[in-house]
Amino acid sequence: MNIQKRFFGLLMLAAMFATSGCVKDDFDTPDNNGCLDEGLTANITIADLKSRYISGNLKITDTLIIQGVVISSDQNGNFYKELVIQDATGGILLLIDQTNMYTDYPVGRQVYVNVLNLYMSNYGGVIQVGASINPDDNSLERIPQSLLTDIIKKGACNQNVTPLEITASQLDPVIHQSTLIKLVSVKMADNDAGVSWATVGGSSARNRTIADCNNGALIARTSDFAKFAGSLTPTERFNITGVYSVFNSDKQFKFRSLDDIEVTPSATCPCIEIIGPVNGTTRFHIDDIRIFDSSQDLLLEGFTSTSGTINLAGWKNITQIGNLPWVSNSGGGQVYAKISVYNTGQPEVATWLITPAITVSGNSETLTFTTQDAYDDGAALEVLVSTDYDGGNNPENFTWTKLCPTIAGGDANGFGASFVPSGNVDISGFTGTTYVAWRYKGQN
Amino acid sequence: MFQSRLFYTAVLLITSLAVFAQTGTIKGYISDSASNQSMVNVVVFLEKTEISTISNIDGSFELTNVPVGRYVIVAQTDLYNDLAISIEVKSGDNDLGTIKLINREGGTDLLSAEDIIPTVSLSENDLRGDGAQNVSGLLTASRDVYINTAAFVFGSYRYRIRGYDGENTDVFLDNLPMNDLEDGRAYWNQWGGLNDVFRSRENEIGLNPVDFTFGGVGGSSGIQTGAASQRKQYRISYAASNRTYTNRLMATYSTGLLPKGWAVSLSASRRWAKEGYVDGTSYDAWSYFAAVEKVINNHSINLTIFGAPTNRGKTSPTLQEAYNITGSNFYNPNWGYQNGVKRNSDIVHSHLPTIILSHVWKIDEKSKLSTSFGYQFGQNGSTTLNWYNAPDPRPDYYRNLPSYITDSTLQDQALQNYTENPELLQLDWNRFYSVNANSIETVENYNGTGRDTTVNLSRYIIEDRRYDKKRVSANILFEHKFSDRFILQSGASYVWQRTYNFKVIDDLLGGDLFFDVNQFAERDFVNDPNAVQNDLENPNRLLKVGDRYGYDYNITVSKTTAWVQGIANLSNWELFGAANISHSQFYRTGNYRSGLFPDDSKGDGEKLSFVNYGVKGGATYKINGRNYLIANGSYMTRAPYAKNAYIQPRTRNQIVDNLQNEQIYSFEGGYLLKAPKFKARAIFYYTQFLDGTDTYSFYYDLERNFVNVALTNIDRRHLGGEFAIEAQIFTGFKISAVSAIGQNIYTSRQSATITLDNSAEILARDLTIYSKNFFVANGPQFANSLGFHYNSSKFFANLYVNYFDRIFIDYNRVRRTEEAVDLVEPGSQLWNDILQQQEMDGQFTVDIFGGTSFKVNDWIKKLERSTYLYLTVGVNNILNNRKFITGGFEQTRLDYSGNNVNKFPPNYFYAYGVNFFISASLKF
Repeated sequence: MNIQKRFFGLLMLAAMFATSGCVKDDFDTPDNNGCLDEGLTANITIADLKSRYISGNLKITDTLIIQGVVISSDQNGNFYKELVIQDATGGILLLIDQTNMYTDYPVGRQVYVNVLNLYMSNYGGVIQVGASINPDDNSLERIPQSLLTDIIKKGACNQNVTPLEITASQLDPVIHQSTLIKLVSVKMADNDAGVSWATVGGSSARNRTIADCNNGALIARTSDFAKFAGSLTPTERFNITGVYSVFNSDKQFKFRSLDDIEVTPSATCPCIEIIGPVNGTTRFHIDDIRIFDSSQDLLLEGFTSTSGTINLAGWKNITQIGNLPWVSNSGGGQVYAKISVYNTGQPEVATWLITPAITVSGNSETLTFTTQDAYDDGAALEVLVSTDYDGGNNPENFTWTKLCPTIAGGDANGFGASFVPSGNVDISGFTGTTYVAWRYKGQN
Repeated sequence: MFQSRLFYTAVLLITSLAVFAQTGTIKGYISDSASNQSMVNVVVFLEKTEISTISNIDGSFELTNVPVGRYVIVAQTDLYNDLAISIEVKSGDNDLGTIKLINREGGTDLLSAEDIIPTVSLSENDLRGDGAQNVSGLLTASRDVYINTAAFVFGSYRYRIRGYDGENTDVFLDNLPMNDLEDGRAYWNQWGGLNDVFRSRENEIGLNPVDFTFGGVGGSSGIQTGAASQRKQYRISYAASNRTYTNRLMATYSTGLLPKGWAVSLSASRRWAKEGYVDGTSYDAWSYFAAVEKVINNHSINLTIFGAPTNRGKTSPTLQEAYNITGSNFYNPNWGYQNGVKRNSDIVHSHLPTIILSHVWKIDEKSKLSTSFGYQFGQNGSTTLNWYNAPDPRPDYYRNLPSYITDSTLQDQALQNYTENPELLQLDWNRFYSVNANSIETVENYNGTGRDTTVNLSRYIIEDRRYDKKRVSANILFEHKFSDRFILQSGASYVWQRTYNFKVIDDLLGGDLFFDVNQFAERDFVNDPNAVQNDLENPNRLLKVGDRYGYDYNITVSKTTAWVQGIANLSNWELFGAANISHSQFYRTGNYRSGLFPDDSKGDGEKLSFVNYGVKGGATYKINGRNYLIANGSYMTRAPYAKNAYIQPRTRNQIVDNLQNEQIYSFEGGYLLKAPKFKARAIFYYTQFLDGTDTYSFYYDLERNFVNVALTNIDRRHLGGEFAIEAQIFTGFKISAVSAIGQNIYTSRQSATITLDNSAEILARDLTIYSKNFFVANGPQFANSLGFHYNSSKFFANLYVNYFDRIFIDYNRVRRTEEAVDLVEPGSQLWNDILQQQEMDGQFTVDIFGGTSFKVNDWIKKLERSTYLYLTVGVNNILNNRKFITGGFEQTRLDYSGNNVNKFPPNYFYAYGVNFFISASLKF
């Protein structure tokens, strides 16, 4: 072996050694569990920011940072190029020119928004935040995606907002807009039950009416592009969570995925406790009470034989608080039970109208009746069912379950146009000796 | 080659006629200084005279009838340094003894194109090629100053000889055809890094005949890998560069032909870079080569095995806006930092081991039969980001750029944001991991089980788009010399090739699984669980790393060719004629049953067959030993390539309507002057391609959907001239001037059929593309170089001053339709902006190449072998012109409603700024 050969071998060895050090290693991966918190501090609440809005397109000229938790999601296509965030004081809608934002701003992520030089505008009653004004039609333009990292900083993840349980009639278009709400034991309006949420293949959005226990109504607005557009609306009672919105006088609501709907087939109406004052103008009429099973009528009462204070055989008319019994009244050729706390001078009343005992054996027993409201300033009528009531004069001491029939509502300035059918209320689950009660509550 | 042989014979004849009164004869031998082997065909001449000769097979030469006096005798040949010796010629014999020429290894002659030519990214349509090494590796050292300059100088700036694409040049290894059957192109990266052992080549451009094939319209290149033909040597070399790689290490050992008839040759190399000239372009390429040859009497059998496993980070051409924001025309959107390390999403990788067995039988003095068999198999692939239900992560996506914002204040703000945070224009790997980590999703009916599962589904992944290959080839070549004047060559070949096209999950970026669904169909076929399946037979698959998904199909092509060629060397004429005939067949085999096309996707598609033929011939008229007139012509037909025959092979077997053979007419002719100190060339060419076909897919804004386009009736005419002169000013110093001008244009209105990708619904049939007189966008069509060459026994140096012009941007076909200019006033500025083809500014560049060599034995006396050290340096674009747009293409998207041509501006390629290549090699 000559020198060169040895040299050649040495060089080759050196070369192998030198190059082997450069072999590609696996790339390191981040270890923050995928949640980057850029940790800013807010200097204004969302409610305070919104309260600065006056009219038109308002440019925000102060260095203001709001902080909120994401409550909207475009993952399933019902939200499109918009992000709704909420803090303890309220929520606000951000218009953003980006799709699939849920990847960066999933529900529950805290974000910080530097709103300096952004604009606020009012669209149908909702305060929106955008980045610029379209000179052609003066409309608010979305925040460009190339500025997102500059304007929206990321915060902690999984800071989920607990939705506010509320009824449609309690919703305040200003206070509650762009916040997460939950409606309990609601059902679809008759025409909107069992139909698709929106039109697959369409390019618009569809309104479906949800009726709550207190006869309040709310529009569920669903995009044709939503992945669940073709899913059918529930035919049974359900709980639903979503982001509240308004469009002029419409109360609207958008949910994020089918996970926001919890169908509760066995639920009857929990008939949410009345929150806030009822000023005492609501008047109710009840008529055409009927309870029947699959073969026969168990009870039929049209109040035609009554006059004055209702005092029917087997029935109870109990003034639990105050002294305002149900009375017979007539109008439009119809006789019915009436109650109204208006102008009675009674600070508080609670009055029960209770049917005679009925034997329910689980044979599709169904309740129907009709109601009419007048000068309605809040839900004041509850329909209750009990299987342990003793038929005595203290029904409040027994267990009553609230039913969720349709009850007339919303006629604040006069009488409702007609009596509203309750719909078929299934009471077949309340087997045994059973009583149904209508309880009126009011203040004056 | 045969021309030069004839030329020298002619020189000999002419010079021998000269008779002078008092004359002497000069005799000598020429040998290689390293091997002491005698050298044939070396030109020997006396300066300032017409007296010259060439050396014989034994290295001997003789110059007779030399008038007595002082002369400078010069010996020159390819690949060696010129040698000039001052001599005194006396009456009678003057024996110079042995003259040793020093091999100019490592000089420009022996650099391969990859050493000289910086990487040029090809258009995205050339996804497969994308090749650093795929630019014309065609040409190697040549005495022809035009070819040298075109290959080594112009090639750096995307110039292509005559504007031809790769499929017009046929490449052979040991007589086996190497062009890919699916797209017709030869991929030189298959043997990248094996420069030491792939240097024995025969090249021709244009229609000139070669010994081993009929040839393409652009010429042919034949490489011999046999161990016995490798120069006996040990060699190790190291190179540093700032181009595609920063380091190269090569080692080669060849025994030469040993006494018992064996020869062995081994070579290996590695080329690597953490980052090449362009940010984020990593490079890691290895290569290996082994050849064993046994010579038994008049037979020789050789076995060669080689391969070049390569991994290379890509750059992608992008919008000028992104270049402007980043302040660099070499901005690369494909990389980003991942925990502080640059990571490129687009890695091209390839490894195609190749085995060639060849046999040469010299039947007698006049006849030779060569047979070769080849087998090739392996991987090709290119990784890239994919995403599902997540925003487009590409930082240079047009919606991410400030120009997408209409409000000027916000635009400024975005610009400032990008300027202050340059990382925003790179990939955000950490974000991909974050998004994936938070992506918990319920998948219904996963894997077709009918059950639901909740899993961590990646939103962003790296996928590997593969086009693996298997190839079998065989060739037989027969040559018979009827006489010194007439040679007959004939051959036949068979090639079978199958490519395996599919996608594989390469990296889930922190998530656990990915979901196999056709997301483009998902939007159009909402709630149709079948339509969105990539493979109906395996629906809703959850994918792990290594799983195939998306599409999976094979393309099988076979081709049988036979050819014959006759060459006649007459006293004043060289004539040749050749003809070939071929049969080719291809078909697609779907391995998935696509949800969109359940009946037209799985299994074998229609088998298409084509018969093609070609004829060519030419004549060279030798006015005298130095002046030649040349005229060649050819006509050939070419089967459509499988690559262009399918509307969308990823999903279905559907074939382009009216597929037809392409026809190619070509003529070339001109004048050559070959004198010892002055060479000139003026060649004109005219080539007409008729009835070409092309296919591509893009997002069609009018339909808001992906569409497939089949372009037919593509006619192009390549017309131009190639001019070169080279003059020796004094011994060792030459000046050259080279100019190539082309008028390479489309000569027809093309016809486009646009098909909806998701449904095969035809949106437009035979839509007229107003493409007539548009330029073929294939690099500069006007290239000029003034060269200064100094060459001594100690070193060589070349300086080139170049000017390029007529550089056109590839045009968007659907922008040249009636629809695109609907309601636009003809002749208006807007009309012109929409329709006219963009031409880039002409540019100057300056390049230098130089080198030197040392005999190490002069320093280290005790070395037993002759040991040489070669040093070479090449610096391209020494003036650092970083504004040189060598090409580009318009986006296929178009703003129909706004007619704003700037909404989707063209993508550009820039030539590298100053870049270098330095190599040192030791040979013994």
